[in-house]
Amino acid sequence: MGSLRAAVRKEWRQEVRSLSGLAVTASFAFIGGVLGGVALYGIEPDPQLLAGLIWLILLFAGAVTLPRTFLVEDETGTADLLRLVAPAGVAFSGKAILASAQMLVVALLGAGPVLLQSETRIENPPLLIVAIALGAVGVGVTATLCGALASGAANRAAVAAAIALPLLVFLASLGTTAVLPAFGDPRPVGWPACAGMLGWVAGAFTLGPPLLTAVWRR
Amino acid sequence: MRSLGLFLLAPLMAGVTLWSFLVKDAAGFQNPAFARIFFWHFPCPILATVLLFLGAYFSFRALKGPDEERWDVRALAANELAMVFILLTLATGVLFSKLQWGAYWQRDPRQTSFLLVSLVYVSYFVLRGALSDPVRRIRQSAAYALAALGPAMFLTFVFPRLPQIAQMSFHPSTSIMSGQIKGAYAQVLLAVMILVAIVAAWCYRLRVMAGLLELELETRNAELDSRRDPSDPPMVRPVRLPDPSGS
Repeated sequence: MGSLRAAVRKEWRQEVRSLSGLAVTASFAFIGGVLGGVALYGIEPDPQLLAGLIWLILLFAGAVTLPRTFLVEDETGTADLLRLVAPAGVAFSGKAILASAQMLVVALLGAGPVLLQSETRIENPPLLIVAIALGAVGVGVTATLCGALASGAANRAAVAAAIALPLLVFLASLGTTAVLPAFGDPRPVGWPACAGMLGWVAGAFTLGPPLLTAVWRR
Repeated sequence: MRSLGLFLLAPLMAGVTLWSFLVKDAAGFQNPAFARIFFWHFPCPILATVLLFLGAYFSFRALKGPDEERWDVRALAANELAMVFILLTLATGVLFSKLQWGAYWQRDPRQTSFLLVSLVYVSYFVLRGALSDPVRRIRQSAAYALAALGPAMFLTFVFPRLPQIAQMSFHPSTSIMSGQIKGAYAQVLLAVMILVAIVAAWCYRLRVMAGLLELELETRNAELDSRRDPSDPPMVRPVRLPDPSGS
């Protein structure tokens, strides 16, 4: 637990040392949210359209900006040092936790403008909050894993996004289903879809460390 | 014995193809006369799924080591062949959809979910192509293949059967289990499945053999390079020049 806390603290310090990464992530999410709201201008979106648009914004914002948690180590030349000093599982978990926290902020900045501009009535706020939070954590941990797998590749940022997006489409479909009842859809699909996303998050946090340990073994 | 088997494969395949055209139309299709592509469509996703599981198993062995290069060759062969069958599934499915349901792409949940599975495994090849270091390429692509198996299997087996999804699907889930495909139609389907599986196994073996030979060649070239004294001059092969006089 202590080493995990140290890993998260190290990642946080690395992020705040140069705020450009956080700034890019936040602006990407916020601009996406505003554009989404503009796209809905003048129309009353049905729950499916609204849910799909929100998840599209979150997906792209996450897939493009979050894999850098591992890729920045390649760029700064500290990847080999990280492999030597940190167990793979701890390094992965620390980066995944920070990426998930970032993604929660991205979700707020991305979904907020869309919901405000669409003036949609939210029928079930707890469901909406839980679904978006679980989805954000799922995107964070998946994008972190894909960043780790793209480490050392040519054009690594684009490769990381390219391998993350097909996996995240599956999570986005669960997320879209989960928020539908919050926007007025009468079908009782919200909480089962949230359970699916929780399973994804648990699976990704469980599978990530041993996979990275196997990749990093000498 | 193997040569005899391969020699018989072509006439067997021709015979089964002819039989598939002669068998009586099955009821249950909207356009029974144009439903025969089903014989070739049905085995493809099954074989693709089996190959994806094999690819994941070989990827696990490559990650675990030892002998990771040889396991990687097997994993790559399985995933390549799986991709071929995924594309065949989509292509035959698109034709079936046009003839039976009136449009090439119906946004049917099974069509969409299998398209997503194809995108997941296209990413596998994108990742392999981007990694020039062989050790990274083996390990990182193997990790991706393992991570991708869960979502791919959910999209293949669970997603299309979810109650709210299944009711929107044009694909029947129970036509084989409930006996709607029966008699000669079922026999042709079984024969095509067996023959396509044999062809798939043969292609897989050939691909693995080619991959292992490539590996052997690289190993031997590396050994030759390491035996050379660095102070030796580079080898020059004499070349015959054309005679300027033209004689």
